[in-house]
Amino acid sequence: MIPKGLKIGDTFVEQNFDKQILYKVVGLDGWGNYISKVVEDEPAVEEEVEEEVGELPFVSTDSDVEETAEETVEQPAVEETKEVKEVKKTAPKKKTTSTKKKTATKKK
Amino acid sequence: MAGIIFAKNSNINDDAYKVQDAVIKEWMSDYESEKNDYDDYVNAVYNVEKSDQFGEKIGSYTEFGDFEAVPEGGNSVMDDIEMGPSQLIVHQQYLKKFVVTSEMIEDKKISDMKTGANGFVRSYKRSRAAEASAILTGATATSVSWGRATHNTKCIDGKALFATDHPGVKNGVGVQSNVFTNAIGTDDTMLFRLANIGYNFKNQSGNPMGYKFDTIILPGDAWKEIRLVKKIAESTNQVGNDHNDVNVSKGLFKLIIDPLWQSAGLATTPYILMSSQANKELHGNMFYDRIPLTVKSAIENNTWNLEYFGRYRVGAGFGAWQHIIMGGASAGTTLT
Repeated sequence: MIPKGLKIGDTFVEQNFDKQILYKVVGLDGWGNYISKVVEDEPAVEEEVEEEVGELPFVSTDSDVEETAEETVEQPAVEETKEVKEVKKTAPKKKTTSTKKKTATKKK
Repeated sequence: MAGIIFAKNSNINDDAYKVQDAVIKEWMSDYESEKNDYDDYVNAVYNVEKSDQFGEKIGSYTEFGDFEAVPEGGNSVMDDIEMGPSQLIVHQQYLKKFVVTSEMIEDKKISDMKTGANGFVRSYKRSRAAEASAILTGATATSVSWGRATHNTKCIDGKALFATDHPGVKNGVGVQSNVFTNAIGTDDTMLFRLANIGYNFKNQSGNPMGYKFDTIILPGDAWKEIRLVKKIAESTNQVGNDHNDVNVSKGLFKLIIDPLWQSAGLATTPYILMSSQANKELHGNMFYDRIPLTVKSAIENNTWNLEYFGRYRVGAGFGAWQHIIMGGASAGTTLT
């Protein structure tokens, strides 16, 4: 028998011959009946989660270390190259100005 | 169901294998004429009709109200009949081919050729029934995928055929449910209760309809439920208890076992109650044969194989919902 007086969110078990089915109340119809849905098998979901959690630390720590190591090494290198580029960019300008000056002196 | 149509103008100028081609078509025609479970299922559960258009539309009107008393010399009262919602069922085309190799014909592999011919027709009949079964048993949702196509499983009010909130058309008609989670149980209590709920279903105007629910459809592998219903249908005394009461459900229900509906992979074991009279009168489950199996043959030049091409068009869907109830569903109304 289905128990009476349940509220939304409560669960109950429906017996079908030797099979027990777990339902959750998701609504009430105003006539004393429930609107309910089968609750999925939770144990199977938990097992999958446990397996994933068991593998995660080993995999994630290695990859994290590698990634962070690469990042720390690469970042200064990038900054350096940027600085070098900036220097290189400014350097030719100076040369060109100097050549102009030279040419100007030649004209004089 | 209409017989097979053979396209006579196919392969007309090719005399090779002409005799064998005629014999194979005779086998197909002969096999098609045999009755089988697939035809029985479709004819028992659906209203099978022919169609000559791209689809069929099912309309509806509300019911007439009751006569009203008027004083002497008073005017007649105009009825407030209203147009209800409608449903369009569009036909779907299905194709298949099979091959009889030139070696099979030359070496007179008669049994192989006959197996192919019979299997082709059987495939047509099974496909027809499988579509009918898939649409009906999957109608807790608003659409079902079968045969690489998506089929509409809504009924005339725009809800899924099995829904907890079928609305009425006229004001004041509350929502009604025809999908229940309650298991069939071990006696006739739940079947009797659901049949009584169906008996009291209200039409779009809010009038109780009073249809007798006389048909039970069960999945092919639900052996416990099948056994129970057979006992309920035939036992003189009540089933499932040791009281010596009379079985009031004896002879009330006709059992239809759907071999293409399997409960093994489902969370629950569903079952369906139907009123065969309401199914006819309210245009409940509709199955339209637009084009029956049409076969043409041709010799493929590249391989010299004799190829058979089959094509048919059908449409299936639902008009009303008041003719049918699903119990033991994974989601729905739970009777306390």
